Formats: sequence, C-alpha cells, structure tokens
Amino acid sequence: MFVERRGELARLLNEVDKLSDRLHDEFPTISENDYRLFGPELKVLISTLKALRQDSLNRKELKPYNNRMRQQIADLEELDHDIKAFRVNAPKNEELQATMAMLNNLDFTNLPMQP
Amino acid sequence: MIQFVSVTSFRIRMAALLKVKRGVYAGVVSEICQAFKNATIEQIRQNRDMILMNNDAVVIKLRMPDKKQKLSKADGYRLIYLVMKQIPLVVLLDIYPKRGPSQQLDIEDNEINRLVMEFITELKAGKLTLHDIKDNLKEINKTKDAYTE
Repeated sequence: MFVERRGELARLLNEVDKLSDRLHDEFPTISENDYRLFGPELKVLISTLKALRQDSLNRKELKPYNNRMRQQIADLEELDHDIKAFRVNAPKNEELQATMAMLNNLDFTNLPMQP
Repeated sequence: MIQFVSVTSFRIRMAALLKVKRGVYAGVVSEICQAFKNATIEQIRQNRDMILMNNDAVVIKLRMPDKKQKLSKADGYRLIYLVMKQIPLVVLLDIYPKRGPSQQLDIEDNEINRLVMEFITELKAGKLTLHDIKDNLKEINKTKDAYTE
C-alpha cells in the first residue's frame, strides 16, 4: 500500500513543509488565542507524522522520506515549543518583561569602541 | 558600521563547542560570520525568527546550517542574538547545536531572561567583548583569542 501511495506521501510532506514555513513567517504575530485554536491540531499532526515515520522505517522503498519526516517532526516540535515559550508564556513572565523593559533607553557609554 | 559584541556566556559556549572531540563543531565560527558578513542592519533586525521584541530591541533565534557537517538549517545551530533598533549593535547571547554530542533541543524564556540581564550588567560594567565579524569573530578589545585559551 505504501509503495503505491508514495506520490500521496510526497504531496503530504510538501504540505507539511508549507505549513511549517507559514508558522515561521507568522511566528512574531501569533497570539495565545491563535495557539489555543491551532495548538491541538499541531500536536495531532506531530504525533501522526511520528507514527507514519515509525511505520515507514522498516520499508526500504520509503527510506528517502524517513529523514525528511524526521526533520519535519523536529522542526514542528521546536516551533510548538517556541510558540508556547515565547508567544504564550513570555508575555506573562513578569521577570522577563521587566528585563526587556530595561533595554529601553540604555546608556551605551561603556560599549567597547573599535580601535 | 555594525558593531558585534558578546556576553561571557556566549564566549564560554563557543569555547566549549570548539573543544568537542574530532572537531564536530569546528564550523561554528564560519557559520556565524557567514550569517552576518554581507547583511545590512535592517536585514539583521528583520528576521522571521524574532522571539522577543520591545521598543528598542529584538531578540532573534537564528537558524543556521552546519555546512561542515552537511546539516541543513533545521539540524544545524541556533544563534541567539539581540539587536538594538536605535543603534547598529548586535549582541551575541548564546549558540547551541541541534545535533551531536552537545545537542540542545530548545531554549526556555527564563534562560533568555538570564542572557539579556547578563548583557545589561556587562554593558554597565564595560565588560562586553567586541568582535570582528570579517575576521573569524576575532576579539578586538582583547589581546588573547578566547577560543584558543
């Protein structure tokens, strides 16, 4: 079945690449509400990809797709983590917000100078 | 002219990566230089992987390949840097590989907080180190190269 559906698998992985690119592009504007909407689907996609990769690991004819799936899983997991850490949690992290506020109006007189 | 400075944590991390056996991470310096060499300050500021931002600064997690190990951006390095909006200043905060013996998968918001605070403290104390991006990150305001110590 897998052999016959290699074309479909390739198309699916192309779509995963597009989704990943889109998430990277939109990253700076993703909000907690956005994540509440697509976060669960993202997790389903990651676990489905993992299962699909596990199934295909023993099939020689699907070897070219294994590494690509591994990279996609790692990329989506990293994106998921970063969205949670920096788009959802960071705005609520008072210590971090206070530190970021300290970056406004810094005094650069002690900056090392080019010789 | 864009100035590149680093905090102590960054230099410690670089030294550790370069000490890893068999030169696994020997390409890290050239990857950083390559990422910035011909970039304008606007290109450095406008990266899609901006993880934190405020009025005067942006913190970016740059995905870099490891050409020496034939690794793509996804599997290469993550460079954490801060870039100021009002002056052409880039602060190298941290770098970690996504693969190999020193692999790190993610970085947490509290760690970014610690690194930004380190920058503020070292700026006030005049302890930041200036680098030449066109000369393998050579430390300009030091006589000894930290990566060979």
